[in-house]
Amino acid sequence: MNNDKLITEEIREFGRKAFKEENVEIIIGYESLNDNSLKPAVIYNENEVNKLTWNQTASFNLATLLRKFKGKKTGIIANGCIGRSLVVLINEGQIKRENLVIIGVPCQGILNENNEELYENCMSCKYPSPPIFDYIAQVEPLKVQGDTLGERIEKIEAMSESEKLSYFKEQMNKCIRCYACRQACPMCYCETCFVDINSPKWLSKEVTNEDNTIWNITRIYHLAGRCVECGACSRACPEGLDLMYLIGKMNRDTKRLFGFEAGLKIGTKGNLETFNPNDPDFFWKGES
Amino acid sequence: MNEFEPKIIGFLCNWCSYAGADLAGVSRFQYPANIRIIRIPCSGRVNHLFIMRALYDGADGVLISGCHPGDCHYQTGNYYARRRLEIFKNLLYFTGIPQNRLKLAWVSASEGAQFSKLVTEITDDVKELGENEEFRAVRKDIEEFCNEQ
Amino acid sequence: MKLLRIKKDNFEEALRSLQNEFKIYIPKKEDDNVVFSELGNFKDMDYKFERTSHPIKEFVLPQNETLFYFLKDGSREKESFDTSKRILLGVRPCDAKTLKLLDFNFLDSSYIDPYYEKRRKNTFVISIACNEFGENCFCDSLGDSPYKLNGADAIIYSISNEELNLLIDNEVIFSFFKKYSEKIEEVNSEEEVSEKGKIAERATKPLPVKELKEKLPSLIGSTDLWKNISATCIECGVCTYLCPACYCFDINDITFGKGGKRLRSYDSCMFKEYTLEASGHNPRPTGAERWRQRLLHKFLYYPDLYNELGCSGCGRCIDKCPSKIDIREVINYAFNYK
Repeated sequence: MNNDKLITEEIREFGRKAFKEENVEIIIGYESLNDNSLKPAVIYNENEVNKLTWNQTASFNLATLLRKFKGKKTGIIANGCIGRSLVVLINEGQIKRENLVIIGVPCQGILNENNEELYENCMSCKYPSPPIFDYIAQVEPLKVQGDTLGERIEKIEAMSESEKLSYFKEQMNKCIRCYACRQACPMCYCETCFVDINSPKWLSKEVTNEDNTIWNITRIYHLAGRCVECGACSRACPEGLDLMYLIGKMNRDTKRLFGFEAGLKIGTKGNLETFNPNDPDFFWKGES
Repeated sequence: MNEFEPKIIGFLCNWCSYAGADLAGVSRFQYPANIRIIRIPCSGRVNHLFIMRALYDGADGVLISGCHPGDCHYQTGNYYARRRLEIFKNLLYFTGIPQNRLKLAWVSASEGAQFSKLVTEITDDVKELGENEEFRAVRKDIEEFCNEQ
Repeated sequence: MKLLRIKKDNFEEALRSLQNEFKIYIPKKEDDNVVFSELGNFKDMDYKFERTSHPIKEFVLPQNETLFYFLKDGSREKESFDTSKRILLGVRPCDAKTLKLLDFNFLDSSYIDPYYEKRRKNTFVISIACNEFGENCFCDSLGDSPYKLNGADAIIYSISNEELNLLIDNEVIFSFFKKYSEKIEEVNSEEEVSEKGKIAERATKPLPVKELKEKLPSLIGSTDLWKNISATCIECGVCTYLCPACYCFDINDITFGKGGKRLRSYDSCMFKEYTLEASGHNPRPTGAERWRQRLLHKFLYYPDLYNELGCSGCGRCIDKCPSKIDIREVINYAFNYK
């Protein structure tokens, strides 16, 4: 709690500097709603800097708004998740580092809707501080609390095939194809999403379990080696689909097989953008 | 005897695997006719959506085969395929689809015997699994309409 | 209009006999959501009638609707209508109102949508007057009321331990419940009765929707206004999916084997592709134009055309917006914009 106040003061100070000294045109951050929960906000000048707030309800991934402000010099409040998203976007040529002024926040963890527990992915977070920043608040970041997501994934891994399938289909039944997950993800920035491509037509507009499967698996797979596991997709979903278990599994495989985690260093190529002749080879050997 | 005959779609890379399959034919190595082969220039061409659509549109099993790593006709295509398909395969298995429905292999142009053995094994495995009901686009209502008089 | 007093037991008996002809839907809890599901077992009748997470437009305009089937060689076609009869029991007045709003669009005299019409004709709505305001409800701020008929066929005004008060504005519905009631009163207007269900006044400020309607035409060119409003919008479309008054749709063909079907499915004006033209030009290229369209549609065009707002104040868009954009704030901001 205490850290929230400290962080808020510091980011306001940095925000002022960003306008005055770094000539940013806008700052993307959070402002308070009535009940002290936060909502994303864009501020346009120094006078609005006192709107910037930080607390543990900062659950929206601000990096997803950058695509609306291309070309502008932008300040952005960034914890680990947002910072890593920024690194991926820079590495993929979506934003220029020079156009960003990153006001870093060592994240204290984000609380879920009941405001008492940390989100699943926050519990095992290894990178609460942004890997790149221009300013950073002087507080201690959250330490790893446990690995609830990893444990949940292991439990599902241990299920029989038919149990796995029925859990998966249960999730697909919930999907209403509103595409909020896609819009909330900073890395889903394709001008034309594959669902809107008519030839070839990969899936229909009908909301069936099968088409929902193609949508969700493909979206998740298109994030292989690019996803920073911020959880924004899962929070944006109005139907409460369990997306984190699939995403978490894919990211853990990426780490285990290729030693790769997205968004840690500028200049790295995405995991599937490159290869190593000595990559592990499990072709014809079943599951790896 | 109405035994279930699975439909298997094989994406074979033109330079190695397809040639390997050709060699199997020329050398008279028998393998089941359940496999339908689609020739692609390189295993790196494979988009995971090919696999999903194949399963959804009626395939009971999918095989993807390319040149051995290091021997890709385009130098690096199969290295990319290896990474991509490794991740995709694990993700797909995690959803609960029986693992024998998706198989990845390296078959070179001289491996006619191995290709026929590979396809025989896959066909047997998929036959045992039965029809692909897990990931099939159903569309019963359209089917019913078509069958009406 | 008739005001009926019915004992709960008799009410349920009436419903039981209705189940022979109608499917009856009530709000049921399913995990974290409340969903209109078929009333199977009467032990599910808890009389709480919570507001559902999804609006009732699904019943008259489903997310996926098959318009007709066809054979690819063109030799045969078959239209597909849903004429099943249903009673929606426990609808909130904000949702009931939106059926009227959808009717304006789909039952307009210049073209009556046959698919919508058949569903609508066979759907009866018995709403329930609200006992308390939800967190983001704002029907009262729009000048609406949470305890009026709003176009429903009947409304349950009050429920005690033993009985309920039902105001009925539909001869057919009246004929169902007539013989099960304890007391029947003739009522000339709803105002005579609505005090019965009135809930405590909430200290919310009314929203300046009438004044905003007058001001909106002059704001169309205010690019900064719309940029500011839409700055944090991620254009996910969840607001349009959950809005009971939103009805935009897309039409696609799905083929399978020798035939196929024409499918109508939900679309959203918040998607970039919604106005993307074949030439590549897009008259609403950014979220700013799309937000402008959304506000204008609901608070200018609808009142202009039909004398009703295109919004009933249910608050679902506020509940689920990932960016927590609040349309009430947007209304105030636009109204006060200089």
